[in-house]
Amino acid sequence: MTETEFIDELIDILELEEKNVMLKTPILLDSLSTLSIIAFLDQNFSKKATANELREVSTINDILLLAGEENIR
Amino acid sequence: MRNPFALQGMNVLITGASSGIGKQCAISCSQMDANVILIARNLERLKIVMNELGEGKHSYYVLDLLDFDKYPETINKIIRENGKISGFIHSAGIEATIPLNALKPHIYEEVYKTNAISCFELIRFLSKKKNIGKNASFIAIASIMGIVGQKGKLAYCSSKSALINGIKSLALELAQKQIRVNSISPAIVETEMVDSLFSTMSKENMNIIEQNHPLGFGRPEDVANACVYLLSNASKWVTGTNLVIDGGYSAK
Repeated sequence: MTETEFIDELIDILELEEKNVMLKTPILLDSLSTLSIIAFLDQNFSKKATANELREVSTINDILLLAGEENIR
Repeated sequence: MRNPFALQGMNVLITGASSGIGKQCAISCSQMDANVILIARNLERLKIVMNELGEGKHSYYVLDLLDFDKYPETINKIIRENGKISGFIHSAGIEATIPLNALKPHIYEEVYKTNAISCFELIRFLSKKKNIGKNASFIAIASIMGIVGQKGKLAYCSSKSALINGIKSLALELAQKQIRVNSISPAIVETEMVDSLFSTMSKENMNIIEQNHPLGFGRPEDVANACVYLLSNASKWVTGTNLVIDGGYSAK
């Protein structure tokens, strides 16, 4: 997955409304969006993230790190 | 008096038999003198379950339930090697906690195929005259989630609803062959699948879920005992029903 595709997927899943979403864009995850990100990471990167790990997430880049930088082109 | 719950001489086919509820159903049915035929994907785990069964002529077969093309060959082999089937428990299933925003058509497809379509398709083969024994009973392990909703579980809840209602249609269609068809809807039962689900949750959320079960979480034998009843002669007038076993989860 490219970085642009990764960001686009997260814009869709998290319904982000900012115009220029970037890796450093801050995000706030509620319980449902946390579950969505867990599912997204599992399906696309076979990464089993936990709710505790996602509690630490504050930007798009934090999710990218959970996906694994090596998996993003 | 003959025990009305005895399963003596019954050949009972069980999917998802290598773990959780399916595994316990295999053990409980063997303890009630049934011959148990196990189906699952994992050969090593099937062998482990075989060692836990009571006396009887038991066997196991490796089958991926998403591989529909393999069904005729596998069922023919099972009937040839074991005789006709008079009990069937569909315990295979996948849990999916995926909110609407993260769902895609291929996810629904996989969940529906595993949880519902595989059951209907196996019943299509098993219910043929050449394959079915006398006074047969088929059971689908559904879920309380097929009756009530749950946030983030659209694919799972709707697949289990499909299973519950499909079973009612099958009960009507197969009554003329004296085949009974029922489902069981448990709430959370302590199995490996649930452990995996909880591993993604915070302790706080797990406690909230447990508090929603007035009698606490269930044990696999709570569901297996209901299967013994629905397979046995004790339930000979029961078909097309969905037996809720949920520790009071849906009582409020």
